[in-house]
Amino acid sequence: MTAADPASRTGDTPRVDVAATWTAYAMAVAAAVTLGHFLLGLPIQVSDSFGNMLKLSSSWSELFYSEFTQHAYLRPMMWAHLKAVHDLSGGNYFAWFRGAHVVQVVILVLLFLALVRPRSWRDAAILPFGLAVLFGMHTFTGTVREAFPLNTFMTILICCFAAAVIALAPYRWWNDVLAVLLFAFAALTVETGLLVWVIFVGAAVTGARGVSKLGLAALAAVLVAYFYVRFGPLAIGTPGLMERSSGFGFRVLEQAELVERFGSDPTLFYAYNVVTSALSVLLGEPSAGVFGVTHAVATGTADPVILIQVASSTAVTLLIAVFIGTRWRRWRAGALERDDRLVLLFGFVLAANAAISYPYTKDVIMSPAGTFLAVAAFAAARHAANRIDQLQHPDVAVLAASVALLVGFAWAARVERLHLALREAAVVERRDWAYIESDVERGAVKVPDARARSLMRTLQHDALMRHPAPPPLDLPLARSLATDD
Amino acid sequence: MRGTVICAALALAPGIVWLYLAAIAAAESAGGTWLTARTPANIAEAAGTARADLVVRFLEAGQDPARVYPLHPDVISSTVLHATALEAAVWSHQRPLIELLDRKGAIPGGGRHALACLAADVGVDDIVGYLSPAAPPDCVRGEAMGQVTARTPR
Repeated sequence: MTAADPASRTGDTPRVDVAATWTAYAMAVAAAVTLGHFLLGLPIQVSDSFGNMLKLSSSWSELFYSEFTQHAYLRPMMWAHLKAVHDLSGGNYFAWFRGAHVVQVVILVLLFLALVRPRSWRDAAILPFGLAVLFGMHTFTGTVREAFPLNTFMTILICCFAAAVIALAPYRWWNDVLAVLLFAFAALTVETGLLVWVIFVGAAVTGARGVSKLGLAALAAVLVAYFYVRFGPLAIGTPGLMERSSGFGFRVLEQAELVERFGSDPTLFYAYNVVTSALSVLLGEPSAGVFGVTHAVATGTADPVILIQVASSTAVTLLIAVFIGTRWRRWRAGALERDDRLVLLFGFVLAANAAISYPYTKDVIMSPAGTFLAVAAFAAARHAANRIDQLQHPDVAVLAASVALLVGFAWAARVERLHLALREAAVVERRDWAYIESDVERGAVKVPDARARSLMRTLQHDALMRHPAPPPLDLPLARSLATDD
Repeated sequence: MRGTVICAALALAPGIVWLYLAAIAAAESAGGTWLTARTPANIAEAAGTARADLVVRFLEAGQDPARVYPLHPDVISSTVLHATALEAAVWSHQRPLIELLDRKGAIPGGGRHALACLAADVGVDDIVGYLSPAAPPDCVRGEAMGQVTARTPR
């Protein structure tokens, strides 16, 4: 069951096994739907979501005016798509917001497949590992664990993958239009959306021709316009040191401490954030700027389970490094294939994502780099498997299989941890709704008028009565992998 | 062939976990509770495990927080197998839950002193302070705790 592949003209992949491709898609959709099932166990949150939903009940014009007149952030499209779902829901908030989040996960997985293009049974066999890296990355957790009440970081992941798919596709005139619209939407959704521009330009640098030179020029014009409008007429600027706490060294520094230590010259702090953000993706440590595992190891308090994140991330980075090492000569000769471009795109996204993270570090901000790590890991694993076939030493193959088994186990544990975290969050978020009256009394949650009180009652009823918490999971290693929630 | 073995080795554990999780999702969607841990069966167990969300659900369903319910040994201990939701909340050091139940009018006037004595016996000072803000309650040490443990046959 093979068919001619259009890509075979470029020599990327000679044959396509249709049955293997369909099997890969079926497995991926099943994994996405499974994660979706766990996502549906979460209610709409009190923190971040309730306040935003109050804001969403204002008119479109009020919403846009407030968005263009605020300090530090320029995110009108974030509010636009939240408002669209809010208005479409007709008051059925849980189904629409949670349902939209599940649809986002399915779209992300389909785009992941469109990028890595599983075309053989060997590719299909690697897929569970690729999906484990995609979902198991600590940078991914925040895209499903939290919502505002949609997760805008997830929106950006979809935009980034879509950008890569367009950029690596054969040229069509509408690619240019799509590229400009996608970049404008992403950049005005949240600041990490600027990575979409990096992906288009990065792909062009690697020789991909999905977007024409005219399209790239239009993208550059939109980028210039973005910075001009942001720092010129709107004078929105960037977040300062006082915006929020941030990890540094072995602990989190509060805003006042940040100002005290770095207020006069934040260069060191910004450099720290850029470097540690990149390390977090490559090595799994630090997390949110805090070297927690290092501290635990140094003080002799490390549970072996916490080493899984560092070991598995480092193993994947080494796998990609081996890929780069074996392809380096072809890269220098300019003979790039699709998998080479995917790995290079990961490098561009990692560097740009880390640079954007300079004001403060947070795992979820690095989620675009984390998802492209999964793409690069898939490509590198596919390449490694093909090279092993050519090796003459059976001992090396046995060693490689043993290492692969261990690495796979570590990533499986991270996938399990994500699902456990979602199940724990289902209870934690509902606990917040149970105690909301006392939070309102203390002033921790603002309920300014009758409309707000009515919304609070609706969401509380949704969380506690209509959609009760699913039961906790009884999985192997559950206690060891439990999150801090 | 060797490459295929490497792929299989890499995907084995993630594949098993995906299957496992998909099976849980399918079972739960069909109404089953396969591979899931035990959930509180009544308002006292919910209070004893700090499940405020379930406490509210059981309250709405008409369960009485001042009534004695059976408890699973894992909730508090094998020596406390019968308690009210209020007692279980005190035993589990859940001051926010005591406040929540108080707000719902679940602490009877006469029961406030007994509950404060239980909190004193258990050593939960912030609950003692909440239930008896003016002065420490006048209690016979160990009596309130003894009344609860006496419900469990030795």
